[in-house]
Amino acid sequence: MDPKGNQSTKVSGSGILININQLCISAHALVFRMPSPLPVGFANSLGISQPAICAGCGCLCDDIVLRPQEDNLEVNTRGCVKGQEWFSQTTATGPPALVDGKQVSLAEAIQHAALVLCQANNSLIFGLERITCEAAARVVAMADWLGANLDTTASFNQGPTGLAFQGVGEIACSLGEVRNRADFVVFWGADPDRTHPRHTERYSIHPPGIHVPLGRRGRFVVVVDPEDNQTARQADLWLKPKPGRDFEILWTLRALVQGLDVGNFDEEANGVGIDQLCELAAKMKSCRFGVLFFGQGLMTGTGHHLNADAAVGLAHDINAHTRFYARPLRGAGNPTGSDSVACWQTGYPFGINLARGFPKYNPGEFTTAALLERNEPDAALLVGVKPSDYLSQNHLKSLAGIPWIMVGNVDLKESVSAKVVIRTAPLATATTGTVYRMDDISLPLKAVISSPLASDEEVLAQLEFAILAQLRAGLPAKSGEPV
Amino acid sequence: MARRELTVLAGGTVYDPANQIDGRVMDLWMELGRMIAPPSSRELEESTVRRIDATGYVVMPGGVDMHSHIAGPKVNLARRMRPEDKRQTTPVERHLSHHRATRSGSTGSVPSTFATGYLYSGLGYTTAFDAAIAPLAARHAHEEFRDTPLIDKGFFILLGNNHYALSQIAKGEQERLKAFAGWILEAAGAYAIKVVNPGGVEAWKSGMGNIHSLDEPLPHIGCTARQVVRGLAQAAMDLGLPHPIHVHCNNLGLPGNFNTTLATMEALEGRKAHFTHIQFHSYGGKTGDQSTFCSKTAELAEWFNNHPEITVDVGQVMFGETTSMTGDGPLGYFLHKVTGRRWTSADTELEAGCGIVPITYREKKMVHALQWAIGLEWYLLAQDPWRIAMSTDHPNGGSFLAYPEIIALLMDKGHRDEALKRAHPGILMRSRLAELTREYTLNEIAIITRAAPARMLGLVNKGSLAPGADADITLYQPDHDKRRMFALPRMVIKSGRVVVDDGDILTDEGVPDSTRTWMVRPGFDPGALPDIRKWFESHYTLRFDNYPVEIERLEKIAALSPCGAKKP
Repeated sequence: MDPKGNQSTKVSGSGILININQLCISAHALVFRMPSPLPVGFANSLGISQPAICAGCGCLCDDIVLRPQEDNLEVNTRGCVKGQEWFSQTTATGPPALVDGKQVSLAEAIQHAALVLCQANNSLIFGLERITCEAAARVVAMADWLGANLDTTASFNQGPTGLAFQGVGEIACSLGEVRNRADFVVFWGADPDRTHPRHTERYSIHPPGIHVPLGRRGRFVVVVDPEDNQTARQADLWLKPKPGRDFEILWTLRALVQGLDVGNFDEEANGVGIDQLCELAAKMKSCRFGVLFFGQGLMTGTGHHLNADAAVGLAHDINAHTRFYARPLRGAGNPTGSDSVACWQTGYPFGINLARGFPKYNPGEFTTAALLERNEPDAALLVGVKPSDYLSQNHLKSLAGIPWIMVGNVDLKESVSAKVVIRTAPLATATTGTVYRMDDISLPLKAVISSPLASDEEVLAQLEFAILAQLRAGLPAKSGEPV
Repeated sequence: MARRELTVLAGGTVYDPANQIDGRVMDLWMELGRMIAPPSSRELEESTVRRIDATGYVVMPGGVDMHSHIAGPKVNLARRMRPEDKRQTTPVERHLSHHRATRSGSTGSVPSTFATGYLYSGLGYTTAFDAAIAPLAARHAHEEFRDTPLIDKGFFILLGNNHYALSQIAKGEQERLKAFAGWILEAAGAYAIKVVNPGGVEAWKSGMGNIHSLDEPLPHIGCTARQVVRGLAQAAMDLGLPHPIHVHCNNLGLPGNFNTTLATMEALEGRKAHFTHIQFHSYGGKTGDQSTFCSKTAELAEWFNNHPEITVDVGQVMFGETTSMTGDGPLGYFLHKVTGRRWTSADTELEAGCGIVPITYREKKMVHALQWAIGLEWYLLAQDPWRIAMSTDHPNGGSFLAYPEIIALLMDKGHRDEALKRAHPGILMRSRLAELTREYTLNEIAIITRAAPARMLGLVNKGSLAPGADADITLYQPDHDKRRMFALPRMVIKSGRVVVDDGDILTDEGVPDSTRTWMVRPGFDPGALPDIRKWFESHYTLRFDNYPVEIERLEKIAALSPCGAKKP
C-alpha cells in the first residue's frame, strides 16, 4: 500500500503514478490482463478486470472504459449521460476535513465527530447511499455502539416497496433472467430511458437472450405512465392513466387475471378503458416470462406502499398461469448494498433504532423525515449522501439546529451548517469495495485512480474506533471482568 | 527462547467418538488453537500453562452443523420479509465494556448475522455450513460470513440447475462438467456441490412446471434428473472433493415422494452422495390425497442401512413458527399456495431459483405431526450413527436452537412418549415412532452432532479432539434434563480461546476474529476455460472477470480442505 493507502497500486505493485491536478492515475489500470489459464492462486487468478463499473444508476454497468489522458480521465460510458455525470464527480478539490468551517487534520476531525456522537442521546445516522458495503458495515456498527437511529435512503425512495415486501413478499429475479427469458416487459411509472439509460439496451428491451433470440422483436413492451417519455414512445402499448390511479388499475388487473367480475370500472376517472385492461391482463397471462418494473411514478400519492403491494400482488396472481416478476428500479450509488448490510446486521433494511441496546424497526418513527420533522435527534451523521437529494428545507433547518457531521465525497455547499465535514475519495473512480446492482447482484468495485482523500471505509473505520474508545473511556473504571 | 503457552482442560469426562473415547476422564491439551499431545515434563518446564478445571463436566468437540441456511440473498430476503417474526423473540443485546464488545441483533427464525454467530456458539456449535448459495451470490455469502462471528463457516453451491452444467450433461461431456465444477468451486470460494430438485427449478423458471420423475427430460435442454445427479456425483468424486454431492431430491414434501428418493439413491449406482433433509423426502401416499399421507422411513432406512456410500441429515420438523426457504423455486410456490401466506421468490440468471414462505408447524395438524415423527424415525432407524447428522435444515424444519430438544427426544423414550401424546393421533397409524424403543447414548449424540457431520464433510480437523485437530471444544454440565444440558453449555472454546463462559459471549471487536471459511481448490483443466468464458460472455449480464470472488477477499478468510484422488 502506498502512503495514501491506495489499494490499486497494491494490486499491481508496479503502477506508474502520474500526477494530474490532484489526482494520481496509476497507469497499470489500463493494461488489459487476460486471466491466467493456469490454476494458480485462488479462483485461477481471475481477479483484475480492466473495464470499470459505473454506479451512476442501479444498472451498475461493468463495461465502462476509462482512459487517463494527459490532464484528465477519458471516460467512455457507451453513450450514457448518467454515466458521464457519475464519472465527472472525480475531482477532489478543497480541504479534506473541516471543523466549524476551519480546516483541520483528518485525525482531529474524527475525534471531534466521535465526541459529538458520543455526547448525543438520540443521534441520527442517515444516508449510506454512495458508499461501499464494507463502509456501510462500519456505519451500522457505529450506530449499534452509539444506540443511534439508523436510516438509509430507502426510507425515501424504496420505503413503500420495503413495506410491500413485508406485506406480501417479492417476486424477484436477476436482470439476466429478464434478458434471457422475458418476452413481456412492463414499465410502470418508470422512464428508464431517462433514469436508467442502458437498462433497455443491456437487460430489458433490446438484448437477445437464450429464450428471446430476436431481442426487441421477441418482446412485447408496455409502458403505463401518464407522462410522455422516450420509453413510452418505444412501447408496443402505452397506457396513460390519470395520475394517482395506479392502485385502482393494478387492483382491477388483479381481478381480471383471476377471472373476476370487475363491475363498473370508471374509465373516465382512471383514464384507461376496461377493454385495454382486459387485453393487457390476457397478455400478462399468456406470456412466457413477464416482468413489471416500477419506478418513482408508482411511489407517489397517499398510501403509496399499497401501490407496490398491488404490483407484487399482481405478479403473485399471474404466477398461477405463467412466470411473472415485479421489481423496483433503484438509483445511483449502492443503496441496494447498504440496505442489505443493514438488514443482515440488524434484521431490518431502514428505519432502525438501537437505543435500547438491540435493533427496533418502525418506519414513520425511526425514519429520517419523521425524526427531523419532530426535531428529535440531538446530533446527526450523514454519510455518503447529498442532503439536498432527500431532505426538504424544513428537514435541513432541523438539521442546522443540531451538531451534525458530514462524511462523503460531497460539495461543500451541501454542508455549510455542519459541525464536522470529512471529505472522502470519490466512489466512482477511487474506491475499492463491494457494490450491489439493483437486483441484489454484487460487483467488485476497484479504484482506478488514487485520491488524496481517504476512502469512506478508512474514515468510517477510524471513526468507529474513536467512538469505541470514547464510549469506553466513559464507562466505570476497569473491574476484574474476565477477558 | 519465548515460553510456549499451553492450555489444559483438566479432568473432564470426554466424549470423542472419532477417537473411540466414550466417557473417559482425561486431560486435553491445546496450543495455538490446536489440540496437542500431552506435553512431556521437559516441555512443561518451558511452558506457561493455563489450566481450566473441567472436573465433572461432559467434554465434546464443538458442534458441526452441516446443513443450515445462515447467509446469502435468500436468508437476507427472509429477514427483510419478516419483521414481525423478530418481535416475538428475545433480541441479542449489544454489550460494551472494557474487555468485551459484542454486537446486537435480531432473532426469530432467521437471526441477523452477529446473532447467528453468538447463538450457534452459545449452543456449543463451532462450525456451520450454508447449504444453498447460487455461485453468483457467493460474494454476498462471504460478506455475511465476515459478519458472522465465533463459528467456522462454509457453503455449498447450487449446480443442479446451472445451464452450463446441464448442457454439458445433456451432451455427455463429463470431463468438461468436471472442469466446470472445479472452476466454479474455486471462483465462488465454495466447499461442495449442491443439487436442488435437479432440473426442476429450471423447468419452473422456463414456465414448464416442475420435474416429477428421474427420467423426464428437460425439454429445452435435453437432460434428465438421473443424468444430472449421476454426472455431478461423478464430477465430485473425480475432483476428489472432501464432501460428495449434497442432494435435495425432486418432489420434496409431496406424498409418495419416497419412490423418487429411492430411485435417486439407486440412480447413483454406488457413487458417494449425501441426501439432505431426508425427512422431507420419506413420504408415502398419493399426490393430492392427504388422507393417504404416511411414513416410508422404514423402507428407505432399510436401503440406507445396506448402502454405506450414502449419508443423510434429517431435516427434523419441530413445532412452532418458522420460515421455509429453499433453492427449490416451485416448492416455494407450492407452499405459498398451501399456506396462503406471503411468498418471496428470487431467481438467479442461468443458475438457480429460490422460494421463501413463513410456516407454522402445528402438533395437532396431522401432516405436520407426521413430518415430526418421520424425522425422529430416521434417527431411530438408521443403524450407523456415523452416516446420519442432526439437522433441522435451519430454519426450514425449525431453528437450530431446537437441537437440545431433539437430543432430549432421542435420549429419552419417556420424553418422546409424552410428546407423542400431544401430537395428532393419526400419526400412530401412519408411522412406527411409538414402537421404537431405541434411546441414544451421549456417545451417539456426540457422533450425530459433531463427529459424523465433520467426517461426512471431510473436515479432518473438526469433530475430533486428537492432536492436530482444531481446539474447538464444548463443556456441558451433566443433567438428567438433556434439553437444559445441551441448551446451555458451561463453556465453549473456539480455536483454543474461551468464547462462551456460562452463557456469556466473550469477544471483542478489537480482537481479530479467528474464524475461517472452509473452501476447496480442486483444480481444473484450464483447457476448458475458453469455452466457459465464451458461454459466460454470451449469456450473463456482468463481465466474466467480475464473476469470481476476489482473490484478496478469499485469502484473508480461507481454510482449505484438501482434495484427494486428483487425476492428472
